[in-house]
Amino acid sequence: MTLFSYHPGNTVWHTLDVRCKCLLVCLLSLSVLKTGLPGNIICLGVLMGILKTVRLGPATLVTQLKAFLLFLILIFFCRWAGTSGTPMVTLYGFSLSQQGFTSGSLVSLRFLVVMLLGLILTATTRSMEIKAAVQWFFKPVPFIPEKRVAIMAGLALKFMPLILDNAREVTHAVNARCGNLRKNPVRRLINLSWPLLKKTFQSADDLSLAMQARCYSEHRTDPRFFPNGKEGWILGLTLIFCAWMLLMG
Amino acid sequence: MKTVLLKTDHLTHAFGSGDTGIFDICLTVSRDDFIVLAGKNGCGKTTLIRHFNGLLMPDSGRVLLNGQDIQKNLTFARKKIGMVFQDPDTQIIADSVFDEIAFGPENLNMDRGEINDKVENVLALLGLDHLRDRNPATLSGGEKRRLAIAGILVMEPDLIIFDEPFANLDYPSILSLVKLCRTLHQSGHAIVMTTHDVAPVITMATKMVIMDKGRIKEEGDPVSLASSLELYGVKNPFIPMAQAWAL
Repeated sequence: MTLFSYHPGNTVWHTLDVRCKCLLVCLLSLSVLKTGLPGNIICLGVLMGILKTVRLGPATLVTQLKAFLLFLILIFFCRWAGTSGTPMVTLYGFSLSQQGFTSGSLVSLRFLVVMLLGLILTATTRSMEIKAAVQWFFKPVPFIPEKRVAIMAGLALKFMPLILDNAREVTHAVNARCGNLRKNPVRRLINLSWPLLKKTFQSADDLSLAMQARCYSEHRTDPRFFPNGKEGWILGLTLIFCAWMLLMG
Repeated sequence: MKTVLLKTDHLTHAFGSGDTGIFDICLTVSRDDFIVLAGKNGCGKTTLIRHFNGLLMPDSGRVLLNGQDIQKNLTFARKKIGMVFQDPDTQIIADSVFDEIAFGPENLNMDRGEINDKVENVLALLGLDHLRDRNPATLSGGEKRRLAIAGILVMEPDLIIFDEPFANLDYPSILSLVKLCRTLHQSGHAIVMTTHDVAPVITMATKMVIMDKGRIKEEGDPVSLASSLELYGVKNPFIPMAQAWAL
């Protein structure tokens, strides 16, 4: 199981109606894009608290999101180096600005918050429920085959942990033969990505066969939703929280 | 007289340059059959069984289910012929045991209440009730295999096909699976099982079919055919392991 797999539980986040969860993710994602550094930091704190309740503590996150965190650090430094303004640090005649620092922090933090929102959604929601919600949201939209879109979304979510699992297996297989000692990063990337790609396509093929074997079609039994009765409260509180974040600027 | 459930009529499916695949396969599966399809790796066992429910289409020949060409109604064929894949991980689609079992009936557009009843029955039958909310990724190999079978059983098939069911299973899981196969057979399901390890099921099977290079080489009573197995690269289960390795 990877971080993005469904983690069963009985918390309020698990039992919340999936449509409400999707709405909350959209609302919060849009708000963090419009708010500044303080708002993002507070939102990050809240999300970390929620993740703790679903037994995904900071240690687990740091261990399993190493690559993503390195990517964020890279974004941060690129942004810091690429934004002009009041010099903050000067190294070998190259100055890093205060504005760049703020902008880099903000962009990385926004990425992190949006990613954590997605993580909370996938960790507390079964992919079948997300598929059902997508179908429900797209039903009133004309000219969009909602069932097809929904199964695509469901499969994409199903494949995210599968690809991560495959990547881990391929990395172990390459490292077991000292592939990590290769100095050429392009060669290393090819050694990892080529088998991963093959494995992923094979998995997709197997999955499609398994679905066909069990009569998969678009004319399926419609999904059911199970509200826990706290949706109104949580939506209201989230709206207030979002408004407060936006007012903070 | 035996009632014919499934029949393949000169089935041929060639891959690539034409020297691999299956060739001119004529096989009959009766309602009370338990057929072991034996043969070494690459002999065409999986290719053959994937034609039984239309996952692969033949180059020539046809598959008849209750006398009707399966291509005329693939959904019916796939409902009546359940397939348990070699690797259960590739068969498991949902994020919880309950949803996984419900996947098939949902595809058949059954009523939600009916789906729930059927899933409950299968959960109880296969002893998976206590795992209903678990993520299938966290189950053991044996439990995953049972879940894959549950996902098939809920669709009430007449014929269950097992593709190398003992692969990657420990001894207790093999024993438990063999018991389950016996129960399923006794409860009226026809069974076709591909394997290169015939030992666990040879005494239960009603017929053994030996394949080699895409063709059926021998067919008949499993125990009588056991001595021929070694000719086709399959271990004779009646030769003790120590003696087999000494050879």
